[in-house]
Order: sequence, then C-alpha cells, then structure tokens
Amino acid sequence: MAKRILVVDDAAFMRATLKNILTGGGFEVVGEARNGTEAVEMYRSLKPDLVTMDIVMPEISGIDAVRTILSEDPGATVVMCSAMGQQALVIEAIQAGAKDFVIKPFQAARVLEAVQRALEP
Amino acid sequence: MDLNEYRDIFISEAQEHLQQLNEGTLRLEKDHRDLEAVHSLFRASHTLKGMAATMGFDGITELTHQMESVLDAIRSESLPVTRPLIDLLFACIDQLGNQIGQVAGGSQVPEIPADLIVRLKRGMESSQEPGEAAAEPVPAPGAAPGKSLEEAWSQGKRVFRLALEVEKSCTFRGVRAVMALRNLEKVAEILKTEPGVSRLEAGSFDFRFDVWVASQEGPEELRRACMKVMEIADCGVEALEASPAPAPAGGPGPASREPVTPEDEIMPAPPAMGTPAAAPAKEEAAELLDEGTSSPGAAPAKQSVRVHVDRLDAMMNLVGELVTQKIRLGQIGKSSNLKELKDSLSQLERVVDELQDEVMSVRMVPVDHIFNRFPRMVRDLARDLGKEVELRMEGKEIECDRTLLEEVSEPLVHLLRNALDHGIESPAERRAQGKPAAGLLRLMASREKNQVLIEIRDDGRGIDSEKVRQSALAKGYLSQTEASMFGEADAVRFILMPGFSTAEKVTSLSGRGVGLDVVKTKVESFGGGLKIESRKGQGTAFHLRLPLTLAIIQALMVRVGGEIYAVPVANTVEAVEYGPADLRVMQNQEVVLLREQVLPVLRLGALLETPGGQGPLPGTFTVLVAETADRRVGLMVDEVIGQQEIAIKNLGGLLKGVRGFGGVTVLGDGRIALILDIPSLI
Repeated sequence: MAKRILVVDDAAFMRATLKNILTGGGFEVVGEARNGTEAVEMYRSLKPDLVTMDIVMPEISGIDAVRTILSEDPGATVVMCSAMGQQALVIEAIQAGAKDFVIKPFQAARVLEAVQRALEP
Repeated sequence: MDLNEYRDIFISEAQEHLQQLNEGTLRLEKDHRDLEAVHSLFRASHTLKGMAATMGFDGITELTHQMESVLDAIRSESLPVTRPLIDLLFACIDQLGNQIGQVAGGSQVPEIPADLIVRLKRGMESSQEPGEAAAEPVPAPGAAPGKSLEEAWSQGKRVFRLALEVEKSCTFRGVRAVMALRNLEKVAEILKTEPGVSRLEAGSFDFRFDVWVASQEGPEELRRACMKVMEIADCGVEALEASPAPAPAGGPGPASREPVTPEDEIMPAPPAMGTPAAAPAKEEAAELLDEGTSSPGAAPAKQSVRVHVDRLDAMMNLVGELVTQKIRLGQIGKSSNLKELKDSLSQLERVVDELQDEVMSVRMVPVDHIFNRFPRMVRDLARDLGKEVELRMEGKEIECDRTLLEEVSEPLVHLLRNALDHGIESPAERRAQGKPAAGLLRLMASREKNQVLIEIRDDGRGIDSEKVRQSALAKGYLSQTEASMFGEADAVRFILMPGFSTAEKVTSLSGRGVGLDVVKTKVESFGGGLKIESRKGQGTAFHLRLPLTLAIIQALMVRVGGEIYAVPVANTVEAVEYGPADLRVMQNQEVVLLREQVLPVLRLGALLETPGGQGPLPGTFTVLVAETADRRVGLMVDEVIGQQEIAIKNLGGLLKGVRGFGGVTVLGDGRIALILDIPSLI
C-alpha cells in the first residue's frame, strides 16, 4: 500500500509541486495544510506516515508544529522543507526531532530519496 | 605557550568577528526578526569570547559573555529586539573594537566601562519572562562536557575516530553533520569533534570532519549510523589504542589540519574615538591564497598561508628592481649580436613578466576590504544627521592593490560623509520635493582596463551652481563676463579649487564642497583622478579613477635637453609633431592647434629649468598632450624616446614635498630619471 503523506506549506504553488513529485514517486498525498495549526489538526485526524513541513509559515511555525506533533506522537516522521540560508533553523528542527530535510527549489530525486530514507525503520 | 606569538592572529581574527558583529547588527536593525542575523551574532561573540579567554583578555571575555546572554535571549525570543537594544549592541561592538585596537597597539587593555555591562545585564532582566528564559537553546550533542579519551579507555570502552565526509555539493553541511552526530549518539558516546560542534553546526568546515566516540558497537555499526544520513559521502572508522594518545584530548586543540579560512584583514577595525594611533597597519598580516583572492563566501576554505605585509612590500620592491635590470639587459642584448644571449633574454623577459604579474596579484584584495565598514559608518552618520539613507554597494569583488586601497579609504570616507551631510536632504525636504524619504547612496566599483573606477552617487540636492557663481563673483574669482557664461560644469571646477572650496562662507552657501580639493589632491597623488557630475535637485556623482597598482607603472620616456623624464601614461593622451610656424601666442600663452582645438603649451625645459632645455624657439618640436581630471595641456619636449614600465621609487627626505615630481626611477642604463607628477605640474 502506498505510504500516506501530509504536505504542509503556506504557498499553494509549493504544495502543488511537492504533491506532483510525491505522487510521481508512488506516494499518496492524503492532505495539504497551509500553516502549523492546520498541520497539527490534520496530523491528528489523518495519521499520515510522513509529513513534509515548511519551516517559515504564518501562525505556528514549522518548527513549533514539529514539536507539537512529536510530543503527541513520538513516532511521527517529519521531513522539513527549507529555503536556502536557513541552516540554523533546519538544525533546530532536526534537534526537535525532524528526520531529514529538503531544500527549495525542490529536485524530485532528492525529495523522493529523503522521504524514502525517512520512512525506513 | 608564549601567547604573544598568537597576538597577531588573534587581532586579525578578532577584527573579522567584529566585522561580522557589525554586519549582523545592521541586518538585525533592518529586520528585527532576522534570526539568521542573531545566530551569526551569537556565533561571532561566542568565538570571540573563547579566543579572548585563551589570550587572557578578561574585559573582552566578560563583555562578549554578556553579549552572548543577551543574544541568546533574543534567539529564544524571550527578549524583544528594540532600537535601544540595537544601540546597546553597537555600543558593545565599539567597545570591543576599542579593546582590540588597544591590544593591537600593544598597550594595556583598559577596563570595560562598567555601565555597559550593567546595561547589558539590566537589558536582560527587564525582559526576562520567568519560565521561558533559561531555555538553553540547542544542547548540541558532543558539546556535553566531553569525557577525555583516557577516561573512556579507563572505563574499558572502545574508542574510535570517525573521519566523515559530506558530498561536496551539499548545501547545508552543518545539518548533515548534526544529523550524523544524532545518529551516532544512539549507538555511541561522543567524546569530541574536530572542528568543534559550533563550527560543525554553522557548516564552517571543509567537507570533512572528525568525530571521536566511545562505543560498545563495532566499526561497521558506527559507519552504518553515519551513512544513513543523506549526503554523507564517506565515513572512515579507525579504532584507537589506549597507549600514547595521539589525538588531543578534551577541547579543540590547534589542529594541524584545520583549514584557514579566507580572511579579511586590510582594515583595522573602525577605530574608536580617542584611540591612540595604534599603527595597526604594521601589525597586519596579509594573505596568500593559492588562486588569487576570492570573495569570501560559501566556497570551502582554500589552502593558504599568512604572510606579513612588509614581506609583500619587499617582494614588490625586488620585482621592481628585477624589471629594471630586465630592461637594461634587453638593451644590452639588442646591441649585441649573440643569438644565444637574445634567446635567453626573451625567456628571462617572459619569466620576469610572469613573476611581476604573480606578485601583483598577491597584493590584490577585493575593494570589499574597505567597503565592508561603510554600512555601519553610513548608518551612524545618517542617524546623527537625522537623515534616512539606503546604501547600495556594487562591485565589492573588484580587486585593487592593497596599499592603494588603504590610500583611497580616507578620500572615500570623506566623499561619503560629504554626500550624507550636504547631498542628501532631510526626509521632510525630500518628501516636499516628491522624492522618497530615504535617500539613495550608491557606491560602485568597476574595472576598466588598467584602472579601477569607484563611483559615489547620491540622489540628493546636487550642487547649486548659482550659489557657487555668486560666491565666486563675490570673491573675485570671476569677472562679470565670465560669470555670465557660468554653467554647472564651471561650478564643479570651482568647488575643486584649493582655497575656494574651503572658504567658510561658500561652504555654508553652496552647501557643498568641504575640502574636496583635498580629496582631489590625494587621489591625484597616487595617479588617480576625480571627476564630479552634478544635477541640481537630482544628485551628485563622484567618479574616482585609480591605477591598479602603485609600484610599477607604464610611462613615456621623454628627453628635454640632456635630461630624461618619465611621464605616467595614465596622464598622457598623445604625442604630436609640430613645425615652428604652428606655435602661436594667445593672451600671453603659447598655444598650438590640435584638431582645431586650441591647446596651451608649456615648455617643459623652461618649466623644470632643465640645463640645456628649450631655447628661444626650436625647429620642429614634439608636444606631449597631458591630461588631468579637468585640464589638458601640451608639454613641449625635445624627443619622445618610447614607452616602458618603470618601478617607482619614492622621493624621500628633503625632496618629499617638491611639487611636480612623483618620484624617481632607475633606467636600464643605470641613470636616474625623475617621474613627472602631471597634476601638480600643470
């Protein structure tokens, strides 16, 4: 069965791009959230196998969302989506428990590799 | 350990961190939410703290420690960024600059003013929210008080050194390093890393780093833990035996493999007010990079060596002598018929030329070395003057001889101040004129053939030519008829005139031109030029033209009577032959026609009182057309011998201030020729 993924990004364009890449790689995108708050809510209801999480978002930031999600489900698998120049934030996210990260602009192969590796036990 | 040995390195590195602090604070001022800036500030003060503590500079250590606490609070968002806070940070940075300046000057390091520390502490307390504050942000793995290797061995653990490599294309190598450490933590105890964890996090390492761990697991398991991380290209595992520990235990020691990062050292830190002349120039070290200097940036550190500036200067001098001898040998070779000598000479010439290019390129540094302190200066000045200014800098990577760059720094500061003070209007005045409230100040460097052009352009009020005209008239610089034909170009010429521009009354009237003649003289003294363009109400642009280097120039060799003089090619346009009938007199001035333009002519022999110089009227004569930023004059010479490169030797002692001469050079045949300084001559 295809792994189920929740895509979180405040930009519709980025969500569409990611969805396209992930679907092409045989994953199922089960939901799209536009900010940290939605991400946390949708994680609870959808229980996806993996979340791709943008870092800089309005309301609750991606990092805070990761913290919340992991505090509720320590087994959650989150891959961060970062822009260039946000190394420090990515480190913070990794310290908070994110499994991996991908850098925008997205390269399909990179995204798929990161997601696959993150899903490995 | 003799710490004095490390003093120079400490100073140059500390200045680099100061620059980082300045840049970071400027960024934070622009965008109070710029977390990257806060991180970079934190890192810079943290590193500085460590360095100062090692050197035993307690004042700097204490101050950076307090700064770190404040920055940490900002980072964890328990302290809001406010304008007073930014000012406080700047005050701390200035104080640090002052302290480091004292170290450089070899004097006793003064106490840090207590009030600064108090203000920092108070800044912390007033905003501390209970509960939130002490959240140590990143308890990084490995940063935990590491056990020494011996300790691990004594507990019967196996110790390994892992040599990790990230892919060279990896963008966030810092994150990869942290991920690898996290994976390792699950199967091992991390003893230490090289470089240290903070540098790993910052990604400031080449693409390799080492980790020492103690673990019950075997090498394969450790390797697997690291290789799970994407973009980790390789992980070598080496089991370490307990006996003589080769690896430095504990803290990061002076590792031999540590790459030297490209550094920025030409400018001493912005000198704090009242600092005794610390003569930091002598203390500087310059840098030899293997492929020329590169713009500091994301590129991994190159192999490099620190070399004292004096050595570079000495090298340049020797190359100058070598060039002279090369030319001399070439002349001997020409007059001989020895084919072998000629062949060997042409080889020698090629090698010497290459050597000269190499030495010159070593001396080249990007103009950013002086540009990088301007944002702070402009910011401070604009604040003092109650103006809003956006400084835009372009061409920071353009390279220029370091000595020359140091020379031009002061004129640039002068011009920038001038633009802020007199050019750019107050926000209210600008709005009234329909301009954006913030003035735009642009500083642009570009390269044109053998010259570097630096332009300073503001969009302020420009030069008021009418006021300059009136003033020139009042002062008796202009006749009524001349005044009636007075235009903007004339105004520019006038404000560059010595004496005129500094006259108090004119300054307040024209609002422009304080000491511009001084700038012009300075720039011309090293073979450059200054031009001004101005449009009333639209702004002013200063164009600085600089030679690439000071030491060796192209010159035209001319003969007058029995003497040979060198004229810098940068100042010459062409040489033209004339017959006796071509020389005319207009208004008591000898002139010739050059392409239907009247060209005033000076008899060089008479001007320099050369023995056997031009007599009453020559037969045919040669006119060398010489040019400065604003004038064009013909110099009458007996003969133009040819063009060649010459090494400039400065005039020393009593001859130093003599007008008209820029130095001397030794000719191929051993004779000495004076180098004419065209701007002061004509």
